[in-house]
Amino acid sequence: MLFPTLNFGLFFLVVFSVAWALVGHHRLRLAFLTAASYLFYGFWDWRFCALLAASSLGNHLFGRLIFDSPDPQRRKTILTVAIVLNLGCLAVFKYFNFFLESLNELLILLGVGRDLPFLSVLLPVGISFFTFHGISYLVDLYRGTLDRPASALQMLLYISFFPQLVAGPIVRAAHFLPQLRRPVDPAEIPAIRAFLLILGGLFKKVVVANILATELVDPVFRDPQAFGAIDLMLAAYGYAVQIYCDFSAYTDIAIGVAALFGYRFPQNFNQPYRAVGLRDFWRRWHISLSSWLRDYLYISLGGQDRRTRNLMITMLLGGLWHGAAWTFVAWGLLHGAMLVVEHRAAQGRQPLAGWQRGAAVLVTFHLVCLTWILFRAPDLGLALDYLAGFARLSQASQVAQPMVLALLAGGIGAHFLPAGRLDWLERQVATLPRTAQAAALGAAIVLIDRLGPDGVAPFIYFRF
Amino acid sequence: MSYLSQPPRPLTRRPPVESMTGAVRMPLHSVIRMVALASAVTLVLGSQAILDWALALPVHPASDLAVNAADQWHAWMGQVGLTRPAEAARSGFRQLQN
Repeated sequence: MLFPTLNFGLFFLVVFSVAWALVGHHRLRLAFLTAASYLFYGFWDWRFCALLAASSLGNHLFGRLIFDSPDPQRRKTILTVAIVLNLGCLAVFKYFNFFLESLNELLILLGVGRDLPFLSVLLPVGISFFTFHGISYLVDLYRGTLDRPASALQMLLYISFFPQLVAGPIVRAAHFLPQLRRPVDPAEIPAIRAFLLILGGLFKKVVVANILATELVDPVFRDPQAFGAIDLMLAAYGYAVQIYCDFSAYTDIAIGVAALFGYRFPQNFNQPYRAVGLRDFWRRWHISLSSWLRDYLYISLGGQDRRTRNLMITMLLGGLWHGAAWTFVAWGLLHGAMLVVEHRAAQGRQPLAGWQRGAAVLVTFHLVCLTWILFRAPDLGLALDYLAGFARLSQASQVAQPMVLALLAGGIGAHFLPAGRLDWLERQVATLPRTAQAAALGAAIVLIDRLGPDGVAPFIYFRF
Repeated sequence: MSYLSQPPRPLTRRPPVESMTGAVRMPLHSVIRMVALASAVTLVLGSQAILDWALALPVHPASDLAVNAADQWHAWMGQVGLTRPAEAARSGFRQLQN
């Protein structure tokens, strides 16, 4: 069930009505939201609901064991076993065939090819996200960031809560579980901001991301050798805007929907293409993942004590988290290497100012676009073909339509709007009568639906 | 995993940035009224989208009912001219695209 569909609209109306009707019955409300979340997940493949429940209850059990154990050594052992099981589950469903395929290719290269036992497994939607939620719970409990374990019901809902289940944001246990412990306040719903985020998200996904995908990015990436340097450059910019609009749309809608149920999610994007460097970029892009990797992996590895090694490992695993393919490995390693270089170059330097800042934004944006080529290409060969195509300078553009160029300019230009734009817009909307606000909301939903191409493509991050 | 040999310590250097800080709050009854009215506007102005949705439902006797109802509804909205704004916006935007 995709957010920008009538199916989800109907689902939302029913769940919203019942959840608020149960506001005086805290446990019943949690149970209902859990059941609704499993129904939402079951729309993709009901068989994976069992995996989701097993992951939640398994982590709940390990959490209790960690909390109840007075022996520090035993706590460490339990945590290690639990993390290994979580990652093992992820490895089987997401990486087993990838590693086997890579091993098979290596054996063939060495002249000792074998028929290896490939598994025919479907990738459960959102497995990377709910695995990270589970690990977050265990480590937060081990570290004492969480003062007590969740009940089984709270744990089931924390892992499965439908707005963030399949593509984040990655909401930490220490951030979300305290919200599930106390009743929600029906007098304090940030509805205008929630609806603005939802409308903005719908527009970014249905109009900007979908049009750029169909008119520009997909045709060029399908056969890069048929296009010249200008089109390849436009498609790289196009993918940068598309993936931002697609993914930030999902998280904006998730944040807005959760707020309408009385829960707060953290911000996940902060105008990433105005970053003045790669470190700044990762503080603005998919913030919930980058801070998760920083706090649970990079710091755990020793942080800046062995910065080069730890950055490379963190970014390699961050790349692999996105998908089981060598393109993601290369993407992660390239980001890791650039972060190492940037760290070294920045040591002892004054902060950038004036034109240097502008130049840094420009360079960072182009480096990010370059790495997006690896991220988007189906394999390394096609990525190399794409990069080689930048030498075809004389070929005229086939895809530079005015609408595409306008969406590109708008998508990049929006990154340079003032940071408080949402607050300002919210204040303006709040001055309108409630009836006008509601009518505008309904009309805007219809308008966005009619402007987009027919059909809705799945969100890019559903694959991860 | 070197962190296992370290004593427990808080992990988060910077707390997550809250998305709803400073947002205007409203009581539930106002939100319900807003959702109900917005749904009604969507139902009235978005009859084409409802028909498209019904036509895409899997074949089933209940789907036939939904298709007939959506078709009838879209015809009524068309008769009173309420399909025009959405279609005008769509065709205008398509012209811009082409």
